[in-house]
Amino acid sequence: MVAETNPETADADQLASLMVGRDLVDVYPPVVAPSAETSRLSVRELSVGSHASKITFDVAPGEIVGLAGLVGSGRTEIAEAIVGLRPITGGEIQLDGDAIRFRSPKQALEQGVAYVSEDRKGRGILVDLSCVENTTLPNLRAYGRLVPDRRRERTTTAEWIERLDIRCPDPRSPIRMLSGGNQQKFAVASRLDAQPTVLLLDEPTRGVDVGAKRELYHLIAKLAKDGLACVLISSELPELLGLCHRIAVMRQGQLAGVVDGPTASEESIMRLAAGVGEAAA
Amino acid sequence: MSHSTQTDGLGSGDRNTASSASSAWQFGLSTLERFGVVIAFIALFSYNAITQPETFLKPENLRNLLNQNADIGVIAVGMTLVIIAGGIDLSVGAVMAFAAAVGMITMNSLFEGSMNETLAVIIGLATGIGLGAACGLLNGLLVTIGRIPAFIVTLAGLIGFRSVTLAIAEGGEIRAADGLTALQTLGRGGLEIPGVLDYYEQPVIFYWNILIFFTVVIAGQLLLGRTRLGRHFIAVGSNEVAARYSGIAVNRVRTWSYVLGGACAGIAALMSLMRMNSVSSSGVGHLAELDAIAAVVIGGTAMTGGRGRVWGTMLGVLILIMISNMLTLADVEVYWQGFVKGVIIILAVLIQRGKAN
Repeated sequence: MVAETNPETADADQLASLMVGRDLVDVYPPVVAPSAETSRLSVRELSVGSHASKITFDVAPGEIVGLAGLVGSGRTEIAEAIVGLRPITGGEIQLDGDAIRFRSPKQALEQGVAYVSEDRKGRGILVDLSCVENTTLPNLRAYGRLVPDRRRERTTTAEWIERLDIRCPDPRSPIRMLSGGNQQKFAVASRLDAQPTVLLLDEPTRGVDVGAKRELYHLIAKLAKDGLACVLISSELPELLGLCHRIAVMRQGQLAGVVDGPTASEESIMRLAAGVGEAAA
Repeated sequence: MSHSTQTDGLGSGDRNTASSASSAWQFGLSTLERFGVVIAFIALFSYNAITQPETFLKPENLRNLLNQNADIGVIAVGMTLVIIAGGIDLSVGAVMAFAAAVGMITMNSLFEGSMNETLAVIIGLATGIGLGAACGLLNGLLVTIGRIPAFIVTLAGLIGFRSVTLAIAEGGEIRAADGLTALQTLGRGGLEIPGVLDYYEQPVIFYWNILIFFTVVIAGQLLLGRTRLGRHFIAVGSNEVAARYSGIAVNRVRTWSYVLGGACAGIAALMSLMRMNSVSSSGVGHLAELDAIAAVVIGGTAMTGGRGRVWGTMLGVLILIMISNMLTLADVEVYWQGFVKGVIIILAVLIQRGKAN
């Protein structure tokens, strides 16, 4: 099916709705106030080598905190340091007020902190494994300490496919046959299957088509509403503004400022991220 | 395929239909390649059976062929796990000799120290397996904690463990102590299959070694296909970084693969003890690592890790046996057998490369 439109009059929404085949009126779900005031994850003056220094922010249950900044501003390194993928060189991380330092993503997952990498094919999923195997991998122990119950694995995968609206003709086929958006949904599903209380999402919509993006946004909002503490790293300002309660802006490894999601503008974030007009910020 | 291709109008192929068609295509392709090793096995078996109906198909011939190579087969199963987990173990042949030597010495000294013969043999065998697993553990720790490439670590193991074995035996042979016959009895024992008789109408005994080989094959395949550890082997071999990000204890998993590989070398050591009733410090396990890798490759396991099957390795072992047998019966000099094996390995890899693309 092909539709033609005039490039001079068409806008992004119109193109998107033509591509998806339905109107994308509610791309971003309404922002609901966090369910709790107390912080679930506290990052205190965290330093990660030369990548980030003295970064401080809090995430409460039900809250979505954005991490904005230019590429290379240290956002990914912060997330990786939190889950034990990079050495922490200063500061600390608190979980429900208790200082904690994870040695590996395995340990982080066991304590309820999950990280979805920006590098989907290299770090997010295992392209050679099936959709089922990918879904249950981070939490495989829950399906059997020695021998995983394969029927339960399939049932759970079917539930995630249903819940995240994943297009997957055969869950037993290798995940590499799926589109980027559906692979990303499996990457998120696999982390969620470990039932985390903190979810760190790194560029979750990169290389994902518009329709799947919208579904991911609604999923993130829904998870937060259910009490998950979310950190959303993104280079797409509209999605940060559309989803986040608060946005921490990073510049060259430093925290340049924290803005309120619902009232912030793309311009105010860009000013912080690029370091121009600091007086205004 | 469980999902049928749906067309809901002219030219409106949506994403589902497209990927379903491509998966069907890939499935068809991989079916052919997946069973290439089965086809090769059947072809070789048939060729042998047709050209040497009088000799090859004789139960005692098949039994002898299996018995002589069962220990290499067990090593190959362990090698399959190591390679699927993204590693390589060149030390298995030397570990086998080391474990056999120490197992034999343990048995002898316990027996000569007037311990009950059966008990001495059991402790000796257990020592052999334990030592094999311990050597594997050392390999695994040097690769993971020591962060030395597996090729280097296990090459050092190949040289080092062989050297220790030669030193223990002063370059010669260690024989079972006088009067220690339980080992030999064990090696001659086995399973009689009713109705299977040899030339002299006597029942053909399928030695324990043969049964151990097939048991290890089944155990290895179940471990790989059904257990959490097996899934982790595949994940780590497929993409170590992604596996770590997915919360897998990568170092522990990789170490386990070497421990199992070493334990298989230990089992192979016991099998050689049962078969030979002695240990040749230079001969036992000599080049076993290469035969094992050859069987793994022929069986369709990717040398890059993340993909493979134990039953393929079993067929790889059987194929290598049949090729040797063929060449021997065709009066090809033994010196040429290695050349033919080399060609077969290259062919197997070429076919595999087609699969990866």
